[in-house]
Amino acid sequence: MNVVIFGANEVGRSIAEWLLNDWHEVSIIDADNFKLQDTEDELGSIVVHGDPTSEEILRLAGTGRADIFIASSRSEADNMVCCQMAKEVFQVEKTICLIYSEENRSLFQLLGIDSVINITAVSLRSIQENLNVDAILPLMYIPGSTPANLISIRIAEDSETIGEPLSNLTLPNGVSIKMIIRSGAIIEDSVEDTILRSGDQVLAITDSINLDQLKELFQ
Amino acid sequence: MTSKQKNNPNDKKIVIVGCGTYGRSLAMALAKSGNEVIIIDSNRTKLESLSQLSLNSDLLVGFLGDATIAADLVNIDIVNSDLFIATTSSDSINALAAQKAKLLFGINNVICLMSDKSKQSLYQKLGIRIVNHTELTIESLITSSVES
Repeated sequence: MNVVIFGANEVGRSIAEWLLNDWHEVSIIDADNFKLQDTEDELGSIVVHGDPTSEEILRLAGTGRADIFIASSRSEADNMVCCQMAKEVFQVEKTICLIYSEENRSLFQLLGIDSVINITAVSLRSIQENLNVDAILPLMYIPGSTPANLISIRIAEDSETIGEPLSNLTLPNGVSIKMIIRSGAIIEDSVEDTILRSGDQVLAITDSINLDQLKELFQ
Repeated sequence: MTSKQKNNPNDKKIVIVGCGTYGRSLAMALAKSGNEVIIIDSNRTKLESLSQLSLNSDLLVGFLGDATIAADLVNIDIVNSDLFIATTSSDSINALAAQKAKLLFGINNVICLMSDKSKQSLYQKLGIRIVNHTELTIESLITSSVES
């Protein structure tokens, strides 16, 4: 793959390093020469210096041949403009834009940017998962004709479900349990026969309507 | 917001983004010719420089806020404006504010100041008018050089 990245910061550099290790062709653009120098010292001559929103610099970085364009700078406005340029002027198939709040998501999607990723939300979710709190965490949204969510549920100490095999429980409509994780390992037995314990992590597919019912049942 | 002056049938409600050199001069000129102008900037010092210069015009209002944030645009009643002009020194900020005004708030008349020519056609396709101040300056410099 041929990937152009805007933003020689920690995020952009990590992405570049990962892709280079897999032998993809990568170039990284930034207007800041100091950051680029560090990047070049670390990753080799893959850097392009200049205004990442200008056609000339994007062309110089190989955006015309790119399969993927990733904008990872701190400036959402700059990220937006260069993703738009990559998409509209260079017809890059996949454009990915990092954002730091939800403010700009709907506009960026409307403008045809393929993936809009909120770094703050990703960090928050990771912290929530690590805190091990009794909570229902959305893990993945699955679009489609009947959209669904993959969620994680931590079984609370006083949940009415403890001590019962899963097959005895009446789950709300549209919910199916796919996997149970106990003490950091997947339980290999059939999900139906498993008897739940406090602290188990249940992975389930659900439509969002049932979230409240699930909370009541497991927590 | 101040009410419109009744004796001028051509007055418009105009939003100007950025209280820098361009924005400030433009705002004062447009207010002087009878338009109701609100100028938005996130820098308090820049807005204060405005109030010192435009002491006796109730048609010119400064608003401390961020024109790339939808809530701030709602606060300045953007939906009732006739014209939106983005004049900050950043092409990207101008593009972001202009596209919000155009696509999220449905403002017809949007003008965006840009210094880089290569992005011009992208935004013109979206119905945003681009004024390239670098080009204008260069043209005028060339004209002056030839004249001298």
